[in-house]
Amino acid sequence: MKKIFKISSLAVAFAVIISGTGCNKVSDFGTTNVDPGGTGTPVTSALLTNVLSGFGAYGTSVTNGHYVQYFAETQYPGNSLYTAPVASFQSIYYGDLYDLQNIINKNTDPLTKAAVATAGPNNSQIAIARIMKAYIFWTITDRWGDIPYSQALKGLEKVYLPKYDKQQDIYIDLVKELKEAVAQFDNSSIAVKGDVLMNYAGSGTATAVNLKWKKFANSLRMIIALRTSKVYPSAGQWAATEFAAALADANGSIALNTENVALAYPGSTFNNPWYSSYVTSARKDDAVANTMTDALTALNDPRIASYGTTATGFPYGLDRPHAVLVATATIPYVLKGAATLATDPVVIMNSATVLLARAEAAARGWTTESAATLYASAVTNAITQYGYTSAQATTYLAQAAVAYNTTDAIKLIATQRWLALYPNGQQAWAEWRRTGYPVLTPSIYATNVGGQIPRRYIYGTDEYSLNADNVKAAVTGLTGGDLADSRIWWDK
Amino acid sequence: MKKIVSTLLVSMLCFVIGATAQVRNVTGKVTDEKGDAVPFVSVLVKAKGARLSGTSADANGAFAVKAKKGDVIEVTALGFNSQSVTLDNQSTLVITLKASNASSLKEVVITSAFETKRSARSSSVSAQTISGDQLSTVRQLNINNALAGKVAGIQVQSQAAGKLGVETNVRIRGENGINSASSVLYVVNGTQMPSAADINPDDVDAVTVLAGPAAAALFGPAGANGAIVITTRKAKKGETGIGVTFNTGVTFDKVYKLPNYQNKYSGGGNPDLTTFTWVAGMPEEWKSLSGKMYPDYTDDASWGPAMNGQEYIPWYAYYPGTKYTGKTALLTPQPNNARQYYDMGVSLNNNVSFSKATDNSQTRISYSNINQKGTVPTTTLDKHTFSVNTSMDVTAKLTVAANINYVTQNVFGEFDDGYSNNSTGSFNAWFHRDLDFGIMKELVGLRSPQGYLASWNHNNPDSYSLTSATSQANWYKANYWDNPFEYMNNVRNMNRKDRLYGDVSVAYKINSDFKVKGTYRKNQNTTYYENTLSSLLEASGVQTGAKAGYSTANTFSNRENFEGLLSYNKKVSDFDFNANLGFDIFRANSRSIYANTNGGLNVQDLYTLQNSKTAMSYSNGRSQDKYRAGFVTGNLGYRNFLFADFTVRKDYYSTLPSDNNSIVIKNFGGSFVFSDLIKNKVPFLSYGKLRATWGEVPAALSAYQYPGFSYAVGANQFNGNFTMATPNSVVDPAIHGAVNTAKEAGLELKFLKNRIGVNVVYWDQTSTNFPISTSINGTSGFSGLLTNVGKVAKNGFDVTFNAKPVVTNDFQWDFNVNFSRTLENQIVSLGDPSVKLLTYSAGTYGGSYVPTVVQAVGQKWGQLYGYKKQTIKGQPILSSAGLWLKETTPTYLGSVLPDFTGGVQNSFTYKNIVVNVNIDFQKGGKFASLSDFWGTFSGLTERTAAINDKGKNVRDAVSAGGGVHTFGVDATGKPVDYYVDAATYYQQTYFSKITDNNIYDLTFVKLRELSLGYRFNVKKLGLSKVMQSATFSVIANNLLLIYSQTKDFDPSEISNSYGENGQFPGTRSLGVNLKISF
Repeated sequence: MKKIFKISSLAVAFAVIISGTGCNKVSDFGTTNVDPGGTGTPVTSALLTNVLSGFGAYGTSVTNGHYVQYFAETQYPGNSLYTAPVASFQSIYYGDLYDLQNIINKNTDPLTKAAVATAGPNNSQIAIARIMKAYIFWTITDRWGDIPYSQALKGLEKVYLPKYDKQQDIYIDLVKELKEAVAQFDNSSIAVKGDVLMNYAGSGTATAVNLKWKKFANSLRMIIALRTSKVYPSAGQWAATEFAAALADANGSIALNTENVALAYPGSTFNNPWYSSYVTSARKDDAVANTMTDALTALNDPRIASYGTTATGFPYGLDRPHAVLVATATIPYVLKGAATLATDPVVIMNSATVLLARAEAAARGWTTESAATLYASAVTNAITQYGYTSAQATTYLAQAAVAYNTTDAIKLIATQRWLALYPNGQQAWAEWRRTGYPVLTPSIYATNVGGQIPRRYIYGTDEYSLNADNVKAAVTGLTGGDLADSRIWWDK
Repeated sequence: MKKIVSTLLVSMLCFVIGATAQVRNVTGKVTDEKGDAVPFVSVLVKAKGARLSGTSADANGAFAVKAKKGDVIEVTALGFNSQSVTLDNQSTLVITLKASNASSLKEVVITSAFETKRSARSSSVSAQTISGDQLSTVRQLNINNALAGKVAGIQVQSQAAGKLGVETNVRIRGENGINSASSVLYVVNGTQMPSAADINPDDVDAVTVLAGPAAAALFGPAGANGAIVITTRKAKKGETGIGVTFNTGVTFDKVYKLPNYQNKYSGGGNPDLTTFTWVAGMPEEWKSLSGKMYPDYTDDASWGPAMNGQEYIPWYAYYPGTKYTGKTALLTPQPNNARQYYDMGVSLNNNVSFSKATDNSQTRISYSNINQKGTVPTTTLDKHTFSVNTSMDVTAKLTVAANINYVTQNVFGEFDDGYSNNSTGSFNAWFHRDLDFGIMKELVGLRSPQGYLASWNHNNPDSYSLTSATSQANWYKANYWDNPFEYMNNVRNMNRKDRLYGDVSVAYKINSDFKVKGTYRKNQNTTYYENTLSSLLEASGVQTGAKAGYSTANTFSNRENFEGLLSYNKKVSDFDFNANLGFDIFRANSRSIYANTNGGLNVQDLYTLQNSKTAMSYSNGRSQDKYRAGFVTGNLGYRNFLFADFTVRKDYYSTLPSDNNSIVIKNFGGSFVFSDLIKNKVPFLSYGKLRATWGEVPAALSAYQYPGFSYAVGANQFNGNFTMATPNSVVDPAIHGAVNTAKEAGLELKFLKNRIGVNVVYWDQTSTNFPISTSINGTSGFSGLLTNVGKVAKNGFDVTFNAKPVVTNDFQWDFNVNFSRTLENQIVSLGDPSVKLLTYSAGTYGGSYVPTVVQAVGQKWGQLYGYKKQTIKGQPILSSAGLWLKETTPTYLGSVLPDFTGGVQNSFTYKNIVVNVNIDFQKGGKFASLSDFWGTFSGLTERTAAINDKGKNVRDAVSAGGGVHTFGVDATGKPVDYYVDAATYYQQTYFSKITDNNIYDLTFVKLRELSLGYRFNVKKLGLSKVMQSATFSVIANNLLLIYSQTKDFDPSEISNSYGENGQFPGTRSLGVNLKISF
């Protein structure tokens, strides 16, 4: 047997001699297998831009916007009739989240940290990546509940089947991450390159840009802590304590509209998502729901002129036979509809929402701030964010249905938050599940059993195919199983 | 095994052993009456007082024996009367064999890698050879379609004939890939081809199907899934006539297999007609329509009013300037509207060949032209194939040969058959059943007052704006769908390819034992395409998504081999030994560049990349890979009835880790023609052979898979910042190739002078450690892990049976059946024991509304995977609304692989008339249908307008006795039944995501080919001076789907692994063919 192998090796040698290659080089192919289409070393600023360029998607969740009745479906109702929300989160992990993890790894690894410091101080890069990671993980756990977290993003360490962490533990860690990130920034050198979120023009100083990130992180800490108010309602509990700690941070939080976190778009290939849907794809599937326009009208809210193309919303939750009967000429499209510009920014977090969070914490007795004052500032900022005057805001606030009172504090705050978060369905849906406000009537044509608005997303079929044991273990912790009606930890 | 190998080695090393004194070398050549070589004949030397010794001739009929004067040399060959020659003083013999009676079969030649040939008798592997004539009993444009049903163990996955120039797939003995289809190797005269597409069936002399890795071991890793080896026709010495053959045919394709649609309800989402009231400000030509009724035009489903012949306003009445303007029509069913869209396809297939052979050269030149007009309007294909096959004996020892093929093909038109394509994607998923396609076609060119193209899918008149000119213009435009004829007229897609392939070789006969041959091979393909979509089409749509644009790509690929082969043939006493020692140096490189416009065009209808409205997209690709292989293959025969053979090949690959970049391929086998020993005892047994073989073929990687982890730069910058994404796949540093092992045993029997033959093969194949990018859980940060995983085990048997039940002077019936049963095709493991499932490459919608395909441990290969309905004891649990409930976890819904495949060929010859009837069949296997899903959702399929058990249409209100009667159980298992509103019932899986509702069975029996041929008696016609033969045939393809469980699709033509997602309809073709030889 061995001899045969020797003969075939001899044949190769024969080949090599004939072809003129040296005999010892029969197995040497030099650089043949070097991929000419890429490099083995990443540029961390390019990874950061890659994540940030798509960050607007986290602020424009249309599905969740249907749940919270911001939007109505005009032609092919599905989400607004509560189609089973079977969805996969895997692409977020191997997409944005791993790019951020990679930034952290490359800035931590002693072998690579010096090389990647060309994109900015190692610590600042890590801090930004941690904040972004926390934000994105937060949006995932709020949709599905328990998710892979502590063992996630460890593919290079051969962890291919990460266990699911309890949402409670994830929340604790998110707050810890944000806290540590704020302390990690390095103001001594340049601002991190490729940071198109906080330093779009690229001309900001390290101190100024880092402060924006710190304010964003502190604001996030407060809102994340507040989101657990159903499980930690009282002062002295985890939520109140963490909220107060974030509020007390010397770097402060977002309080002015000029501090709003918004992603600007350069246009061309990176466009506002509403522009992509209404203009590029020319699809008219989504309109402003009448739930939203009715609410704005009832409160004489000037923003009705900015939230959609007409003041009469599309009836929410119609099935197809009824939806197609609505005259198409009058459909109110979201924001500027087909007039949306490719370069219109997407707001990720505005000062109104942060101030409303502080107002609510105060109203709950978690902090000693004045809820009424914060509420008034929040509503004022929410109105002026759309270019209306503070005088209009004052008039608006003076109405009985708007003016702050302690009895209805939570309801008022939640209602104004619902209005201020528009069109960010992701956050609005979470806040609705937490507070129950505004009171929403499910579609009368709901197709799901029970006919209620979904409370969570169902794990994708790819979790069952690729991480079956862990997803099944996680599902045992869900009362009611892996269904849209089951409630996640903080939504008990 | 070791013993056999050492015996072989000893034989090989001892080739210098000389002959005894009084015996001399005698060489000979065996030909038939025409002068064609008869290969692999048995040659027996009967010497007085000595033991018989024997050998066999080579592929060219040449043999060499040791004999002395007075010895009798007996030559026997299948299909010929045996002949004996008593040796005198001559040292060369030319023996001419006479064909025996028609019931015999000729000895079959098996061609393997490096064009090595051997007799079927001596082969231990599974190889089925069919001649070019058998292949083309009915002339086909594509080798794969011609093979369907004719070879045991292969499943031809045809595609709809409407997709001109499409490359079809073949599966040999099921599947052994894990995450993508395992591709079969095609080889033409030793040159590897990526697909069957560029092989001209008219040039084919013989096809050998080497099933499985054992048979195809000599090809190296490329042969791991089996190989289809083709030899092309050569000129033969002694051919009568001037050597010109003209073959011309025309076939006509007509659509015959479309889903069953309902023909009771018209389009739209509104079940009622609405009264139109004209008001001032509306177009004057609409005035006459005031007070008349209209259906919903805007919605693209068919949940509209019943078609009862009532008066209504058709879609076209609103557009000015036609005889229909402002006029009503009668709302009547249009059962053939989708069918009327398709043209009659026409295929012209012409071939002319010239061949000439002399004593020391042969040349065959062939030219083919295929010209097709597709069934989809505006589609055409034009293909030219030019080939030269020539060889020249420069001296008695030196032969040079060249084999050059050039193929050029131009395809025009759009062949999209995926979701929401503009033909089936509309007709089967989003459509109005009331549309009159005669008028649709007549009104091509119809414009709105503003100059936009008219569409059946425009707005409803109640939404006509009296004030806004923009809104008025938009009113007439296509909401989602254009006039489908107009669409095709405004899309111009062109796809061209030029392929040059073939070889040049030099062979030198060192002496009667040794021959050396060097071959250079090349397979170069350049392609480019240009697609344009007109500005008018973009401007005429509201939500059609059409963007005017231009896209283009150029690709170049070149594969080159340099091969050396040293052949050795030796007979020592009763032993025959032949061996080949060789090398194969390979390199491939490819280049591509691609760009398209985005967001429309700045200047209308100016198709340049620079005219892109927003930044254009572009990319380029480059890759190269190499291997260097050495091999030795040999065959030892004892008295031409007992044989052993082996192949060992070692490859070094540029794509494998450099410190461990070689793989070794092995194959050993033996065969025993036992009938030679019992000839006298069992006279009715004309041939009996037992054989067994074992092979192991590792696979390599493709270029740059290892070490992977390469960061590419994004094409576009974000406000001056460039982007990079982390690769989504991790690579195991210990990566190596997969190992495919196969063992098989076969029994071949022929009875009654070869009139009946049976061939049974049992095969068992295991594939382990695939180097694949497995789908890993994306939460690890990566969606793929390139590693060696898994084990797929499969086994089964192939049976072929052939007979000539009737043979008389005037009438002959040839009958051939083959059958292949896959007993098991299981996923045994997927590497790490915790990995239970892998996602198989899915189509666009796999996993969303229809199931996806997965590989699951312990399950049969290729499981459809999705959500079932909840059941109790098989009965669906119904909600209080009478609807199904989704199971909370997804599950397996059946394998996409059939259990068995096969075919039956009948050939009847009566005097000058030949009738061929070829049937093929398949049993088992599932596919999912997205057309069925959307077609039902949209109220297009027949069942959405069925009559229920109360005699009412299911669309009638439940209160009026309508609705779908559903049966099931409640949560406690108690039987319940409900009447459910039809739309609610048929749209429920869209909402619930239950995916087991649109699954069909792949079982079919198909009359694939039928021909009636007449061979003119040229002598009688007085044409024998001019022509040698003339045959006229009437042919039919896909004549009848005799049986299929699905009544909506042709299961032999399913477009995706999981099923279909809007595929083109099945077609039936009829044609005539004339072949004249001069």
